[in-house]
Amino acid sequence: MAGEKISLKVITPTRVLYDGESTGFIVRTSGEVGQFMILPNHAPITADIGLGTVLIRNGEETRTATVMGGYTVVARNKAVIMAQAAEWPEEIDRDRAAQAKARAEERLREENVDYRRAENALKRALIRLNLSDSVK
Amino acid sequence: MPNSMRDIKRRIKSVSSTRQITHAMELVAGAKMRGARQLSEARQAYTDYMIDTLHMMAKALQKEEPNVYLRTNGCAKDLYIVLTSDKGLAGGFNSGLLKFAAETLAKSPEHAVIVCGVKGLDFFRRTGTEILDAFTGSSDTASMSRASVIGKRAMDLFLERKAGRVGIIYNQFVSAISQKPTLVHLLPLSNDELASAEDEISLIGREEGQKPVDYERTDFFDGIDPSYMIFEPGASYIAEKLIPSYVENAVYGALLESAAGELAARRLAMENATDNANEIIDALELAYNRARQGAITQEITEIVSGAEAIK
Repeated sequence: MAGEKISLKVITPTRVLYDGESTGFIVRTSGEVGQFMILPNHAPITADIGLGTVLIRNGEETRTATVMGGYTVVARNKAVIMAQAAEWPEEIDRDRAAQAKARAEERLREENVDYRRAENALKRALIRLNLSDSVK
Repeated sequence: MPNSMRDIKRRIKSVSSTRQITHAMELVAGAKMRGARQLSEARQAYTDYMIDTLHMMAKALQKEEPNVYLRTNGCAKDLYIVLTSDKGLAGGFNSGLLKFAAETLAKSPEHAVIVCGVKGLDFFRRTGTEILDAFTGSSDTASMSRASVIGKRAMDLFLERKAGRVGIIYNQFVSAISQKPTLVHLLPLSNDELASAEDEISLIGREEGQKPVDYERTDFFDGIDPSYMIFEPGASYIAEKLIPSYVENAVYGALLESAAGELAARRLAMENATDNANEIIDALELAYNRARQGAITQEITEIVSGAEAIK
């Protein structure tokens, strides 16, 4: 129905990143479903979230933030995204992300490394850099 | 200047410089403590929603086979995570906690510890307690990354059946002048208790009936029937990911409380030290003035009697 909104909160252990209304938001699940969009009046759902971004739409406005793992719960036009870490593009420390990327790539070339950990670190760095690039 | 006066002067100088140090430490600890409290408050929303989601998940999964974090694993050994400070000069912060920890450990026949902070490490080495892991450095600044490392280590030990129960012992920040040693039970969680828990006390502080973290129920899940909830990819999958992040968050909360408590204890200890230094300086200044007055009186007497002699 037109005009309906979801009240959305994006929460991390260190702060509340977003607390406001949304006419729909897109998250990336960790599983095979990939990205999906939650619109007003969505059925109650609890979904696991992988490393990626969340796109929050509010009317004409859209904002994107990184969301590094967690889950989202949607029910009765209320939604909460619980993320391990989340940040707006302008808050991303590009130098740090670039260093993390270089470190992860180096680790992936070595043998006997915790492959998944290095891969996740690389993913996180790439997500941050991409999002930071996209708003420049 | 007579020797006694010079001695007093020297002591005043030395006590003053000590006072300067204790006063600076008092201010630094106070400022850092406020920072740690702010982080605690910032964590509030996350904790509230996390615990409410756990309630909801537990209700949804009540009929399912309990997952690995909810089952006892048959290991008789109790694992305690003990949070202490790295540095002293914090009043009874460590001694109170370690006394409580020793009492708690004495109650379980088989036990081991993961210890944070140099003070705790020294203590458990001395008492010959089995130390499975130790983390030292920066005990007064809690970080999510450290909490995550400690939490994962404890969960791994639990999953490998090297620990049957996991608890965390830390100083709870009660107020700027008091901390309270607290034990919080972390693993295994009980699904029935999770589902039926109407308040936080029966959920997280059941061992001691204490309230380890400030938790306020959100109204988010009110009127929502978990059996109508869609779980993507699946309820048990989400629960298995949710519990570790709950444990890590609980460890993070404990680290924050402990850091704030340490800083509060240090601020108070340093405030007392500064007060004591002031008292000593006052007393010394009085003694110095007396000695000075005495010396002047003596000189006058000498001059007067000298003048008398010439007459």
